[in-house]
Amino acid sequence: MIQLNDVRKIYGEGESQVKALDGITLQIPDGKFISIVGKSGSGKSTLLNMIGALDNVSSGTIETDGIRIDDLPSDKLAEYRNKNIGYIFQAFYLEPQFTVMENVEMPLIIAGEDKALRREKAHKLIERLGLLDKENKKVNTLSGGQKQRVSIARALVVDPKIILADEPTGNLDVKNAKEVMDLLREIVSEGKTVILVTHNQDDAKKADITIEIQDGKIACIEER
Amino acid sequence: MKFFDLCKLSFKNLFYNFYRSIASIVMLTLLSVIIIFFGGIMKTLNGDIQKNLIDQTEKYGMDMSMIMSEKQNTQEFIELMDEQGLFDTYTMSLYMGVGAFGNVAEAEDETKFRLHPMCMGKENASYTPKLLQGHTWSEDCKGKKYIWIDEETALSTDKKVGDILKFSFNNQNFEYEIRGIISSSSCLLEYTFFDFEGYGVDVTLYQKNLDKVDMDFFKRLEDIDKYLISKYNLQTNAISGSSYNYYLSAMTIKKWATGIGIFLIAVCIGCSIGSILNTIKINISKNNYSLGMMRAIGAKSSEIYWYIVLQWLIIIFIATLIAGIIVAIMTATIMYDIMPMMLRLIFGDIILITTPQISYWAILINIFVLFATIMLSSLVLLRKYTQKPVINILQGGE
Ligand SMILES: Nc1ncnc2c1ncn2[C@@H]1O[C@H](COP(=O)(O)OP(=O)(O)OP(=O)(O)O)[C@@H](O)[C@H]1O
Ligand SMILES: [Mg+2]
Repeated sequence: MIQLNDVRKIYGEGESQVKALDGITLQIPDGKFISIVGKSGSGKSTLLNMIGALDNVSSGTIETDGIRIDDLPSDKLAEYRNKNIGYIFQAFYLEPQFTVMENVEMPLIIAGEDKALRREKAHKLIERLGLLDKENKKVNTLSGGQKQRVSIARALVVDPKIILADEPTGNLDVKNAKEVMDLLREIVSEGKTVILVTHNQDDAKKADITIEIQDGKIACIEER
Repeated sequence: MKFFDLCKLSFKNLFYNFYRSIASIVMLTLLSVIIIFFGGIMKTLNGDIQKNLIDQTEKYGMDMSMIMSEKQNTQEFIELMDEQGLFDTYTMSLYMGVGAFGNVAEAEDETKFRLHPMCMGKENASYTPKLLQGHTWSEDCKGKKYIWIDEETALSTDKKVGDILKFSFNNQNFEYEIRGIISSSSCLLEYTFFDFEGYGVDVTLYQKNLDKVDMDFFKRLEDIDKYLISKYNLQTNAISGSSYNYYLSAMTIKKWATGIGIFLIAVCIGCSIGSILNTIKINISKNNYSLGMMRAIGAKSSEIYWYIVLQWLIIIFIATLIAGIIVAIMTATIMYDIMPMMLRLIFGDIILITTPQISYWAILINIFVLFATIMLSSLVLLRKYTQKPVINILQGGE
């Protein structure tokens, strides 16, 4: 379970101060599909980054499974991210000169996994995501949909409990977007928590819980 | 992360970003070539000048005459030299006031005359020419404007004892009374004029151990009488002067070569440091989402540091290796012709037999400076960088 307590994030100082998050208190149960919606600039990405330990809070606490992640030192946090969280971004953030295999196995390399084992794990995921014929191709030769599948494979490869996806379909066409959504649904059914930030109302409705953010505050929470 | 995997990852990244890596390698190779090349020249000159000096000394002996200032106590000077064990034996002549002195052994060019405004000494060494007319030096000549000239000069200028000899040197006018005329048959004189208020000591020094002749030897002489060398450096000439003249020319060459070499090396090192800093900066900001992604998926800041540093270490290693090979080839081939040409071009004629060498120190220093630059600059740049929230790195924000 992820527990946020009065989390605030303030950017800038003085006049130009922006309250990106303004007192968020929230519980996210395990194994659920959660979507976060809201207007542009409402603080959705900021919230996701807080949960993913990619950014630090201005005040408030964040706990996952009883561990306070808001005050962990940066190297401990890196380890936490490596083991517990998979990220899927709109911009993919892949290493363009590396092959599909090399990109997917990267989190395992960082985790210090043995080569044989990590090749096996990465290979399985590449196969599952239908990229087998691209396994040894450089990522910069792939299409957008294929790149997003590579990034999903990379997010899943360490078998994390939480998957964070910030508008993963933003750069994709309808067909590819649907595939990605189906994949996320599938991941949830394997018992992982998926948190999705999206502008797409239909996508948002596919989630178990939809959280609407407005000006850095929770406007409403809808459970299905 | 396993260190081996980190190395592999660094190497892969380097290899995949081939053109960027090649650019860095080419740049560092060029700079390293200059550094190693001039390191070699400096080493060659240093070693060869020393070797040549020993050769020269063996040939011509180590005798030298010095003109000392009044401030220097001769006896003390001799004692100090004895104390230092610089020489086995010496003979000494003392000159005071103004006089003429010459040396048959050394005067190869008969058209040149050197007139030392000195007086013939009382303790004559083997070089003292025979007095034909006038007076020898005595205590009461001290400080008086007396001069001794040789017979040939006297005849050609129609001067005799008691006449006044006027000349100017260094924009100064001098008037000396001719006190004596000495035989030209036993001396060919070179005339040079300079104001002299002290006294001259002609010390013929026989060195104990020729193997030990080196730059240090002259330095030790300077240590004994700093005043002597600093004020009368130019006036100091060797009786069997080749060694000392050689020393002076060699020192000039060495000074210039060292100066130019150090300057160029410093410039190149500066350029290397500058370009490394710049490239690292660009790499970090250009690479930012890739480094940010590494952080996001769990790389520790030390791992990011080594990821960058290892890539650079490989670049430096390759660059230095190539530069070393280039300089080695240059040294083994064209340098044998270029080096004497360069020396002649800059310094005119000097007998300096050089054997071009590679300076391993230059290679080490090159590697060390580059390594240190990489380690430190990465440390500073990445420290600032990895303290930022990961999301800022990912998105390239401030
Ligand atoms: N690094 C930053 N520095 C300053 N302000 C920031 C920074 N990141 C976000 N903000 C501000 O915080 C607020 C929330 O931003 P956030 O990115 O979370 O919005 P969002 O809901 O994800 O919007 P979008 O739908 O456009 O992605 C915005 O007003 C934004 O301008
Ligand atoms: Mg956003």
